[in-house]
Amino acid sequence: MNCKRVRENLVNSLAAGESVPSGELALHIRSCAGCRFFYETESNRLRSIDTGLQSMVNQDIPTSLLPSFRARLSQHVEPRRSWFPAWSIAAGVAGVAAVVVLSFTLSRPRQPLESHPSFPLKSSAAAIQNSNPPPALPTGRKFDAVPSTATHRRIRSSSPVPDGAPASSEVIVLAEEGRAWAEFVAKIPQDKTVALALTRPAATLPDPPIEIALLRIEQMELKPLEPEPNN
Amino acid sequence: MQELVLTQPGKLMEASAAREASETAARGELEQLLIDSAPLAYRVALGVLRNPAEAEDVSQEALLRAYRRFHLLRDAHRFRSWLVRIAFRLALDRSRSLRRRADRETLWARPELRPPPQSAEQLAAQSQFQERLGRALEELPDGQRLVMLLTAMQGHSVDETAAILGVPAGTVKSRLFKARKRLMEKLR
Repeated sequence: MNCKRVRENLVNSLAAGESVPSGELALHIRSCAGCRFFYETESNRLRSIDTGLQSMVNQDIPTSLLPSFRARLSQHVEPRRSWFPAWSIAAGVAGVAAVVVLSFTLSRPRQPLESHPSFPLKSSAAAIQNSNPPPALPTGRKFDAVPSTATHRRIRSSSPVPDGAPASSEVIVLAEEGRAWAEFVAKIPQDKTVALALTRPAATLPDPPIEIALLRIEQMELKPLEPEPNN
Repeated sequence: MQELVLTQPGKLMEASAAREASETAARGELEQLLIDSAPLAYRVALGVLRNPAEAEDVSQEALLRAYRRFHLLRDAHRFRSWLVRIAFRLALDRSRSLRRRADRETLWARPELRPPPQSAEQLAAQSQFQERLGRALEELPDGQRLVMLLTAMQGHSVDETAAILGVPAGTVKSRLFKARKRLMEKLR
């Protein structure tokens, strides 16, 4: 084993914490003065490292450490723990946001019934003139398909109205009036006068002229103010 | 579904009083544990910072942080290891910020940063060696540095260091070997 190899092994043995080299290393140190000097120097260096580290970290604990820590601990305010975990708060906020968005969507003002392009009475009036047989009453299933959460129900009137009506005609009615409306539409062809009266515009009568008469005061008596009696 | 349980008011008060008493006892135990571990936190901080005043401040901060976040610690038996890591991290952060501050300020503007007066050659040599040792320690990887500090601290054995850090003894040995070898090379 040459000196270079021996010195590497010596450093390794010192770093591993072996106090005295053994075997071939010990024999070489005994015979080689240079390696013996190297070993002594390195072991002294390692000893100084250990001593330096020990003196660095094993200093006396300052007497103010614990009192200062106790003081800081007493000043520390315990953070108030929430009754609900964070995820439940987030879920609640998301739920409220969803409800707000849903209610906003549903409460948007819809187009008035008369101005709706597919107002069914126009089409049903045309259908009455064709005098087709009355269609059957819509079954409950058809209405069940309409979402019940809606404040107004959109009822497809293609089935209740006669065949001549356009398939896309629909009317917006209140949810609770849906069935009554469907019955009404189904009965329209039976009573043409009612249907036509409904579809015709109301007669416009001129308003009578308004007369404005002047206010007349026949007699007027003037009296002086009397002083109040003193108590 | 939640059950509705009718409880007598007296019993309810007793239960809440018992809960409060147990919470107070647990808090007292934790405070005692922190006080017992304070020297360890201080020495770890001192090993990194080499400044007693800064080490004291950092160790107090580490203890306070451990107190605040104790509920996050899953295994209470690893408290010391956890505290050592907190103190070590805080000390490293403080060391970096101090170094940045020192770079900004001139050395002579702050008398406390001036080197101590050299009264004797030996003292000068010792001081110089400590300075070199400190710099060499700073250049070690964090794991090796912490192992070196803990083994030097109050003569902790490899097994004790492994128990404090919560790592196998073999890991401590290999880190110690690499750290010593590197320090010897740097201080040659």
